[in-house]
Amino acid sequence: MQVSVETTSKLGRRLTVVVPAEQFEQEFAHRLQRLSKQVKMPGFRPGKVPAKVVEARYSGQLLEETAGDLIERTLREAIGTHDLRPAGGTRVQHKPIARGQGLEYTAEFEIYPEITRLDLAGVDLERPVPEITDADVERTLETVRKQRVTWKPVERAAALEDRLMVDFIVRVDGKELEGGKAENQPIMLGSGSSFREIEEGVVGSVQGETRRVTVNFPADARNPALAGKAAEFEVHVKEVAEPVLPAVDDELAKALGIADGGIDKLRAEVRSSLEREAAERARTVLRRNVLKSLRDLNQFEVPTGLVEGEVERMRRIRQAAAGAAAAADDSDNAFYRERARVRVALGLILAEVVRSRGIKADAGRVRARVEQMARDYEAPEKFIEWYYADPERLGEVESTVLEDTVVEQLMNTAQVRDRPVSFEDLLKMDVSIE
Amino acid sequence: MSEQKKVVDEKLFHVIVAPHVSEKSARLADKHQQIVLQVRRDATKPAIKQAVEQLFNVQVESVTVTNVKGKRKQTGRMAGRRQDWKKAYVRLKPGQDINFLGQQA
Repeated sequence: MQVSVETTSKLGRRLTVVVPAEQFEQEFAHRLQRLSKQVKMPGFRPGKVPAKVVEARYSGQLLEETAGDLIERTLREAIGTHDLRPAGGTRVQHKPIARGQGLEYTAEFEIYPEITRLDLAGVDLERPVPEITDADVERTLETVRKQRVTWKPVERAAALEDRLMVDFIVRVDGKELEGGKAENQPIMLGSGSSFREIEEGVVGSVQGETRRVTVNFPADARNPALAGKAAEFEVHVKEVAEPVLPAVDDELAKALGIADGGIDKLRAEVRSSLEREAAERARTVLRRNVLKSLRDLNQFEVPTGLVEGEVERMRRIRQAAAGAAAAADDSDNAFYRERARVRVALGLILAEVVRSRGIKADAGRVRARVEQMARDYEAPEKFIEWYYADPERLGEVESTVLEDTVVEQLMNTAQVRDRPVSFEDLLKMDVSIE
Repeated sequence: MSEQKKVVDEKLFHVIVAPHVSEKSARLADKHQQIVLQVRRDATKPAIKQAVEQLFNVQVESVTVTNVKGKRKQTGRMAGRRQDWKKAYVRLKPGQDINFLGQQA
């Protein structure tokens, strides 16, 4: 067996392998003999078909099989002796095969890039240290209050922020539209959720008033009966109500499920939940900084085969998420490709780190993680059991834990600088690795 | 003359029905350069010789023929008989060969 290696690009390698004629012939004859012992043909007793007849009938198929088998065996050997590690698929092309000739083929593949920097020594890492201020707590409380708004009917004219209860009838060209009648529809003034003309048209109306508003529908409106038409809405205002935000007091705390302790307890709870969220977020940011600097330290060409595979995977996930509606679409290929490249590169680096440091997913941490995930479910024990039943499912958790461990260890090799940030700034921080 | 020759030619195409492939025919082909054919029942030795020579572009040494009786077949009470047929052993001159088997995979 003769093997020559060519370097086609930085990572691309082309192997040219020549298998001598004797080896091929020997293999072929062996297969022919075995086949003629099994083959059944009319006019011959089973297994008594002469090799010549069998060859005439099956030689094409046999040649392919022999070549395929020899390629598989010799290629593995060739890759082994030249100490190559192929990444992704191998493209094999062989010259025309015939009996009595040697087998010559080329195999093209990419090899894994060499990864040299496996620590972050001397790297300045930034760790955001979030501070939760009273203002952050108040802002959250404000959001909560808005969610628990109540409506109080008033006798005055409707203003922005008010809610109207209306009945309306739609007419196009003076005729009532089919299905164009509704009762007790809420309209939030200034929310933009109804037609702009209507929202503007009913400002200043009082309870019991009826107004006519003309709405011009665009030519591409969804309802063909309305497209491009001017429809007249006859709006009868049944009720005008103003929003009432609940007061920040012990009542609010009670309504939110805090039995005693009152408003101070609520504030404390909000603060601690914000702190938890901020800590989680800070960890994500830090993790991203670790991975990013790791990638910056290891600039290498990524095997395109692996990138293509990743692009394909991402697209499938995206399609599954978007449902059948999102058909195959090549337009955002470049977008995927760049992200896939970073992902693959990081995957390779992390795998190398794991290998060189012999890091393993700690069983205790895996357990803790699953338990944490289980907490949100009704029957945590069942959930944990279910998770541990499937090695594949558990494997996902293990790889997450493994990644966390790697990031932690890497972080310890770097210079970590704490930087205090406000909660709002923290939320604005970039967490995407790509 | 040419008119008559053409008619003969067309008939020749119909003389040979099929090659007969069996263990015996494979052995004969190997040992004695003989091919075995199923031919029309009314074919004569000279006609077979001519047909083989023209169709396969070979030279024929000799032809022997045999009439094969059709097998008797019976399903239930219904008795029947398969068609009789004629088998021809055609010996080629030394150095000649016909490959019936073809290179199909």
